[in-house]
Amino acid sequence: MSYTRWWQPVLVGLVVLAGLYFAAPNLFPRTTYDENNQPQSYVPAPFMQFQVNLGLDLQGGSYRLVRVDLDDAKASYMRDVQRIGSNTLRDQGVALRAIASDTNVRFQFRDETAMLGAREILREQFPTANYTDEGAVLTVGIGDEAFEVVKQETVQSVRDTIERRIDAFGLTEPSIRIQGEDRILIEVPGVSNIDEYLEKLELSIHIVSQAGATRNPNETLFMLLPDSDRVLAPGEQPTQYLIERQECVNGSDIQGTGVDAERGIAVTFTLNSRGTKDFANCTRNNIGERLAIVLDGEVISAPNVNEAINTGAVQITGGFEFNEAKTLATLLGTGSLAAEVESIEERVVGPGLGAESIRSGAIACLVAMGLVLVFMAFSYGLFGMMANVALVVNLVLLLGLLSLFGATLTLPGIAGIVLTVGMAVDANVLVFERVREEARAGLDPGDSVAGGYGAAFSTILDANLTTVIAAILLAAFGTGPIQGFAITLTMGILTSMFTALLLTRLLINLWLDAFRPSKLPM
Amino acid sequence: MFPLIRLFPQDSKIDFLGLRRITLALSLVLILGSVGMFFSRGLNLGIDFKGGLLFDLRFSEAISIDAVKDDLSALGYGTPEVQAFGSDRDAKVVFATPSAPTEDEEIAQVSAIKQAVRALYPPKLDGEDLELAQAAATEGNVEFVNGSVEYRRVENVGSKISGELAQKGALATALALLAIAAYIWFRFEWQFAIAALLALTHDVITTIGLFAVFQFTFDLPTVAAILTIAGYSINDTVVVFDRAREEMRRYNERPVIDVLNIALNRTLSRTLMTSLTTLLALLALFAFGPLVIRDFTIALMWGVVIGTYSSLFFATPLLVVMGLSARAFDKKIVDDDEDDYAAQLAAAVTQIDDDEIRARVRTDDGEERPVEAEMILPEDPENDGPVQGGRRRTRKTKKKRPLGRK
Repeated sequence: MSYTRWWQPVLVGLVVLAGLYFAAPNLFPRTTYDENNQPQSYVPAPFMQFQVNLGLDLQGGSYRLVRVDLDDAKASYMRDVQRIGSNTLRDQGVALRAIASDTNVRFQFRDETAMLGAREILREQFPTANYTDEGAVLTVGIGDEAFEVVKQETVQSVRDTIERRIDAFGLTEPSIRIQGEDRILIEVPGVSNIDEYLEKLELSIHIVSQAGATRNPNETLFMLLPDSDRVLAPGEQPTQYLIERQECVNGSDIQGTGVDAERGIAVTFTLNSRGTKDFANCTRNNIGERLAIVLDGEVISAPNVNEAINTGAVQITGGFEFNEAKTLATLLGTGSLAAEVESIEERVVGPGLGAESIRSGAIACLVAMGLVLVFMAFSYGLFGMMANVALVVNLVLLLGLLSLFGATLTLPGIAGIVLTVGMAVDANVLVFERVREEARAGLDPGDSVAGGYGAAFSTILDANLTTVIAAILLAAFGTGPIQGFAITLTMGILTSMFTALLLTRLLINLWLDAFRPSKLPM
Repeated sequence: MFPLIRLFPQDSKIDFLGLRRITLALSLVLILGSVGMFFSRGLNLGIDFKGGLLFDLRFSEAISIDAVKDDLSALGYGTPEVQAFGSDRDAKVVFATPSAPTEDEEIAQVSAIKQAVRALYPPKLDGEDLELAQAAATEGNVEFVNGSVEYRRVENVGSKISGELAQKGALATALALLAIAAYIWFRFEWQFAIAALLALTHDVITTIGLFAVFQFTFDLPTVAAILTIAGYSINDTVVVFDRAREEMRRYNERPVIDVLNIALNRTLSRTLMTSLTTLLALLALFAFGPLVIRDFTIALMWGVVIGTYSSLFFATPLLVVMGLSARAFDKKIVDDDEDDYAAQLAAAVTQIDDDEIRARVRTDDGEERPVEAEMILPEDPENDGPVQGGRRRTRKTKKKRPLGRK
């Protein structure tokens, strides 16, 4: 009688080979990226390109969770209502005065009839807004439905802008995902600082109505810096400009940007056709006046308008450093963020620490293996050796599985693997102890082995399933590195059950078939 | 081949349950002590749960922790915690989250601290950061000077998100414990489920107690460690319980304490072997693994120890306390046919017969004969003498154990 069925070695062999095949690509250098962000792989042909992803804590990089300021998005919606609403009503000949706040816009009309007419016109433009009227005053607020749409659009747009910026700076393999309703998770490997890409840059060009003015609450007062010099001498007051509220050109009309270093460092940009037309109109009507170029509430530069500018090419000088100008140009070129973002969680790991973690993690893993291998060999002899083969194969399978599923290996994940090394032998220990008991009870080797496996199976299943339950909850509730830990732990349990239950059993059965021992060597 | 080393006895006869008053009391003391430490001393929460700004800095030369602390305090953002981290060139700096009335202001403060620290210790750029900076410098004809301080790790967790993380962690732990208990309930009798749940809670609480006593940093990886401990501990408990149930079916006439003792003794060498291999692996991780996860490793090592202890000395004694009796299993064998007492009896007898006649030996004349293999039990005076003639403990005199023996 044979203890082994013909298909058992075939099945187990196939799985082990598959494990080797999927684990092998990890022996080759990792994919690199050339200047054009094209991946360059070093894995040779017969293998697939799957390698274990290294988490940011291992390869170094920046993990950032940011919150999109939805109040800001709301305020910007209200400004749209005010601007588009007033323009539409003016075009229709309805006289009004409109005041916007962050949460609503109050339109003041001549009388109630004018108000009712205007309400219909506005309803067509903003069907989801909230309308409340009181005599000749109409208040437009943002409705829940409108806010929902604004929220989604804003978050999506912010995400896209951040992606454009990170791409524009040439960073490789960023991952930018929306999480929940107002959060964006940004993961960029290999860099330590992405603060500057998250800045909200708002550029606009206004007409200066008065320079060096004092504050008048009804007008827009931008203070700052004297012409083209951002460095103030000690004690020098920044110049204040009173500028017209309505901008001539708004940052969203900017097209191409660049840096010109010929006569002092300047940021240059060209406007799209609408911007060019607006800019031409504005300069034609204001020859002799000054323009204020406003970036984030600061007047960067306030040149005189000598003639109408029809080309749509604008140059700003503001005493920039070259790097500063370069960054500014790139950021302006990728568009303004639709709302402000705030960094609420940041985890940055330098490449040095990551490499060290991999090295020390690998050493720990090998030492752990060594200790367990020796321990098992001395405790169970030949059977211990078979369990050791299973342990090594288990690691290969685990690596193969992690590569195949593109799972991310994190630092706690390495700990998970080391833990798996320790716990993987558990199933074999359970079985071997059972086999010993059966043998002591007088069963022959074949029956002892069969009995041992049979009796231990449900225990192994129960014991491992409970650990998997804990691991699944970890994966569900954890973030980043912790999920990595849960994933390696779960996969380690699966592969260790395979190696302990099928592989070692096969090895033992083959040995039983070959030697027909009368006594178990354990 | 080489001689096998048997670290653990093959046939121990330790009276675990006899110690149950002592061990249950010890566990109670451990739990109360942990709760007491938790409330009196509190946990040394990491920035994951407390919020704050952390830097792992590596300087180009040896530094004094006090000097770094003075430098950083002079920035005017409060006095940070500074501690040596690995070599004498490394320092771990933690700024508490600035107390600000709104989240916006808090975020602005944090970014101000970050900038101030970067200005004080100019960062040594590396990798893509370095390439970008150099490229920009070349283009602008500026000389590029790299800083000298390596920012190995920068972490900043806002106060709102840290609250969320703490909530999620607590929820995950509670759910994991309940889910595991539910699974045990599904697979075992209710006493086992409750004992397992209590044992898990015991392990979790004492781990938290350990962190309170030694003031190890309690952060997200610690929660992962706790859940892993729960997984490990239940693994151990399940193995013991599984065996307990099996032995109860086999010896449903004996006092439950004896049967549980048999189960514990029969699984003892496995329990200790597995704990030892896992501890060996963790010891390697502790000695050679990354410094960043050292506290995590300590938690896991403690978990292996307490998990093993609790299956032997806490979970199993609890079964006795809850009044589990082996008789329950007598009925279970013939669950489907409860009316017929004779059938029940017959089934029980067959069950025992099957178990006992399973073992066979080949006698000298080549004939196979069934033998009865029986573990020698502590309260069985007949068999209590020293074992002779090798380790196989089979008796050829076939003695049928009467079903109704008291």
